[in-house]
Amino acid sequence: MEERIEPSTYDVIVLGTGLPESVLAASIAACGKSVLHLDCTGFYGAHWTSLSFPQISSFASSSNGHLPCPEYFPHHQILSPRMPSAPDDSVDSDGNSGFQQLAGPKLAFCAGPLIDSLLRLQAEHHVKFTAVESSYIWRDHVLAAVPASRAEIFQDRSLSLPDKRFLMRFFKLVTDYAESPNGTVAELSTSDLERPFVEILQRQNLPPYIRDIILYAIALADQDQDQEQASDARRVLRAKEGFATLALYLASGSRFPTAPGPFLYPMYGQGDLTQAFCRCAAVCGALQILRMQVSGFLIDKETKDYKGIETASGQHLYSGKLITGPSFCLRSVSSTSTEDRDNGEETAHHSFSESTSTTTDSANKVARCICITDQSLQPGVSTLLVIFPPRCLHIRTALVVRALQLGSRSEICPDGKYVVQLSTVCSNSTAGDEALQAAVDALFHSESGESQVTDTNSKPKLLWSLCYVQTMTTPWANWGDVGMCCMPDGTLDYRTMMAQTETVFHELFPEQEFLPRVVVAANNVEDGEADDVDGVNSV
Amino acid sequence: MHGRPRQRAAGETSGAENDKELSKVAELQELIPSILHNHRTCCYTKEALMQNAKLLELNPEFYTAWNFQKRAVQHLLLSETDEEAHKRIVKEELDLVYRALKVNHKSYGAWHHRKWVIALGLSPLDSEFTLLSKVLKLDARNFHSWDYRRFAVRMKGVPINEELQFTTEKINENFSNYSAWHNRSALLSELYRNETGGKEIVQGRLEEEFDLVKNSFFTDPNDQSAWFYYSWLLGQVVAPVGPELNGTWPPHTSELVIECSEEPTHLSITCTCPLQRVTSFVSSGVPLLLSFTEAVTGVNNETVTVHSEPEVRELSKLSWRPVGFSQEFSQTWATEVRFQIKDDKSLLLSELTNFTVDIVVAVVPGIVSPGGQPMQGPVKCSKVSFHFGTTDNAAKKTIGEELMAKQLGAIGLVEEETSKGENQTQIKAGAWQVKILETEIESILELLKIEPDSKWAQLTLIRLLTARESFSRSRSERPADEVEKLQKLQGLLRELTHIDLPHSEYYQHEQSLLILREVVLDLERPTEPQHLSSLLNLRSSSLYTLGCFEHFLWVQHLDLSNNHLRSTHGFEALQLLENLNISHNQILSFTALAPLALLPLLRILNISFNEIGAHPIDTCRVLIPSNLSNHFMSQVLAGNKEVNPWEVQLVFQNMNLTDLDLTGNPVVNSSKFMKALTAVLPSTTLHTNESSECK
Repeated sequence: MEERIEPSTYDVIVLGTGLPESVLAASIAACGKSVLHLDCTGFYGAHWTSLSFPQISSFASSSNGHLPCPEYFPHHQILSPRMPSAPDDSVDSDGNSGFQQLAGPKLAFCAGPLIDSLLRLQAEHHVKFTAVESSYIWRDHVLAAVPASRAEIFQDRSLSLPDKRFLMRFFKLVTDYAESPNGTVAELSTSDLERPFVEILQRQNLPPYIRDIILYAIALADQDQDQEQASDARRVLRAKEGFATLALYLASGSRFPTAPGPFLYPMYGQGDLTQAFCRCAAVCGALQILRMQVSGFLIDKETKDYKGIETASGQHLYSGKLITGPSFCLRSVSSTSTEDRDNGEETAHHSFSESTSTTTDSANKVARCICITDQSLQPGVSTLLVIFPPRCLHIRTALVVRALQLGSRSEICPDGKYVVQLSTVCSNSTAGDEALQAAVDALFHSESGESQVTDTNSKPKLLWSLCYVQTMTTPWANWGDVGMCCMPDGTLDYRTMMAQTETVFHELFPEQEFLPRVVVAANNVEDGEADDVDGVNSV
Repeated sequence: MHGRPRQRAAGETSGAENDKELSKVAELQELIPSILHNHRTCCYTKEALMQNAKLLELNPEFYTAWNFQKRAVQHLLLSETDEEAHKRIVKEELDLVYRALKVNHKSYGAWHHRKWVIALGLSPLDSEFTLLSKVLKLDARNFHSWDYRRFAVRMKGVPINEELQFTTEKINENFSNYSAWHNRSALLSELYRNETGGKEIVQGRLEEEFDLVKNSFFTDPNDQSAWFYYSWLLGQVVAPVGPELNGTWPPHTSELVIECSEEPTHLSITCTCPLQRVTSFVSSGVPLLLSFTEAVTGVNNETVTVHSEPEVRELSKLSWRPVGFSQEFSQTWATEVRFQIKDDKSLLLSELTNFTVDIVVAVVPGIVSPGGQPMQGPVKCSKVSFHFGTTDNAAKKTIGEELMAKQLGAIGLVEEETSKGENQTQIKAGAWQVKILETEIESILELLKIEPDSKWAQLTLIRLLTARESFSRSRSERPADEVEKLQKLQGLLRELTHIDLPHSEYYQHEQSLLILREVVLDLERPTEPQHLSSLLNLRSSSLYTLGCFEHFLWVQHLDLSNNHLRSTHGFEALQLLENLNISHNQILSFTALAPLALLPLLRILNISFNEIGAHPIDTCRVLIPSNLSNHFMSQVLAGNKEVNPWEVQLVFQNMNLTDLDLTGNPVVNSSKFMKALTAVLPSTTLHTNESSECK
């Protein structure tokens, strides 16, 4: 009954519309290759999608119940559905209930690779951003502003005068390092750059609370950097990485005059971001089809190399290369029942990543939480980021927790409501859940009883929350002309995702430029909403 | 942004831009004649106004066009009676200025015109603040905008605190904004003037400001705007509010012996003062000198009273004159007490062998600084005893020994009894100031611990220490401790010279002043009678400048050889100077010696081994007041050959030198100069080479 897809041969077939898949589709199409981009669901975004409130509620009530495509989220385990009922007024007068995303919080650096790629692909008109107004670090039971620019250091009255100097001097070192042609400055030797970042900070006379600000709120370390507890060397941030993130943070702060801070959040959630790249791919000639189930792969009988795919309707589509999202996985080729074909192909049936190897990293889980509250954590500020450094909530909790509050300005929730997304990278679900609960308890006032109404404590009230744990997987070993994309990880920004995506691209197309600069004549842009310059919607 | 040269527009202007520029020039050339014609003929037709507007949009700097515009507006306003029409005219005018500002937001003419239009009072002021916020967003430091903002604030009557909040916002955005800091200082000064709530409120505000500005330079110690503001704040705390009297000659409690000299019309004057120095000279009258902390005017018979006991008529009608090139202001004021000499060489007043004089400098309205600040502090007076006709050297010695025997502690000026109550409150105020200084010194030391090479921090530390020293200076302090402090400050300045080479001369000057303060301390120490002398020996003292003149009013012989002096600025205060040696210094020109022309008693001048004539450019010429040089220039232009080279004339024509040593200056090789010099100084022995010096 389904229409046949014409033509049947492409340079590349991309399965899934997650963010990495969409970036690759756009990049490959921009290189002038023919691209077929399929998704088995009826929506864009896969793991990166934005779900409406009813959708997320049903996800919460049953992990495999009424999701648009339950197979997409096998890695997600519901931990604590603390949701007595959906708040009555979660839907505004226009019936807009906002959008939630499962892969949050994620933010883009103004000067980071994601924004750069949008600009290179001229995709900035397809998506609008809202700026994160300010960052805070949890210190002594309150939110303390993160001083990350000259003006912020000047205004911060919680820093002592000498600390202002030490911090500013350290920032100067960072910018010097970033601006030096070969990445060397007098104060840092090459071996220093391989040392743990925390060591360099200690050497710079920076007191512990400023080290925490730099490590967790600016260099965005995902895990505890305390050296004495360093059982796992991989979680230790190297100086080189720390400097790179700091430099990016500082450069991001001043990139767009309309964005006061370094971070941008895509309006309507990350789902819009994937759609922006999909549109780019489409503008460059990629063919996109949603609701297209794929039943198996076509494999060369002799070489066992990839040849093409078989759709659910049985159509065979051929391509030189294949890119799949993390939800797709081949059952082991050898054990698959194959149907011999005359043309020397065999079909290997795919499954949704049952056999993907989980990462060997001990911290292979990301616990996430979505909260809906009735007021902002900081009066007068709508979009904000809160960092909980290790041990700031509980002496035994060595996890880093991040919380992103989004207001109605980001179009993901109605006026007067706020969505707070929390996440922490952890090695076991219980620890992650505990850390998130501690952060939620610190931020919100969760009792809904009448007796609490007169509470002088003006913490926002928690209306609804959902905690879940995502188990990270790494793509299985490369298979010839097939590239595998990654899942949303535990980092705050998109750099790891973009780097992994670039690697996949270069493995498949070593000769081509990743994200070539696209020159689109203005009248070719189908989308007429190209009204905001540089993709930043001013706040 | 500061200290960076302006970048020229990148690359060569392209052909298209060049053509555009040329067509603009052509357009202007076409417009200007007709506009000037309209201006002359007072033609304010619609077309004329349109043409003018076009011109102003092309070039807002064309001031005549703004004038035309003003006249046109006046004309239009008179021709219309309807209030709405008036408002429309003004609105159109403001739109024109807006368009001109878009072309150049730093156009003086455009901003001035806007003020003029607004001052007509026919337009709402709120829109001006909208405009200002727009312009200040584009360029937060644009001083035109800030100036206009002050104007708009005055017009609208915006409360000072509200404006202060605005500067805070601008500083929070970027504290490298001296325009904002400056506006803050102006606003705070106004606030203090209007503050009736007492000193504590003002002091509290100042402490808050110190806190704010410290946050700025701790964040970035290389930004100069904060340091400038800090310097202003410090001035609010420690600077004296007005000029003060800081020295007299004859000094307080000194004894003068006056007798007839060998010269028929002159007196021989010997002054013995409590510093155990004897000054002795011959003059037509007894000079009286007053020295102030800054240049003042208004020193006269009313502000300075001289009481004598028994009463001496001559002392009641003295005429004080400023010492210096200015006829109005001077740091040093002088007068002379003239006594008639009878034919038998006895003095007219010789029957009054003893009388005492009280010179009282009163704090009555009258003595003010150029800034209009009246003289501050308690009434000060100086007591001097006059003795006549004693020729006996033994008697002089007795007077000197007597003085020493008194062990006079009060060598400064005495303050009159009546002012004691006032004085008490001053000391109390001083405690707050010392407290602030202590806190600030601590902060700066903390910063220097982190940033030892910060020139601003180091310089500020020196200023703070100097200020604290002058505040807490008490007679009870051991001179040795004071010397140690001064030497510590000199050490800091020496370090600064290395850190900040481009400004090393400034630091060397500051160092010189500290060296001189050490000299003053030394002079105040009791010495053996045989050391009594009117010679001040500052040979090889690493001096780049001379200061502390109020302490050197008594000096007759001054040896400044082997220093680094480039000028004799301020030397005019040394009215008793007879013999000056500034050999082996770095005097570059005769004009650098101009102040010496004001020393009536100077006889011997040694300027050997300087660099007079070695440099083609005379940097001291600008320092000479223009009225004098104009006077001379007009003579030069009138063809008076005598005054050529004019600087020789300027410096030497009124000097009564007996000896002038010019050896080792390249100028001695110029016959033109030497001829002029001989003409101006006919009775002076000129030394021009070493052999003649030996002779």
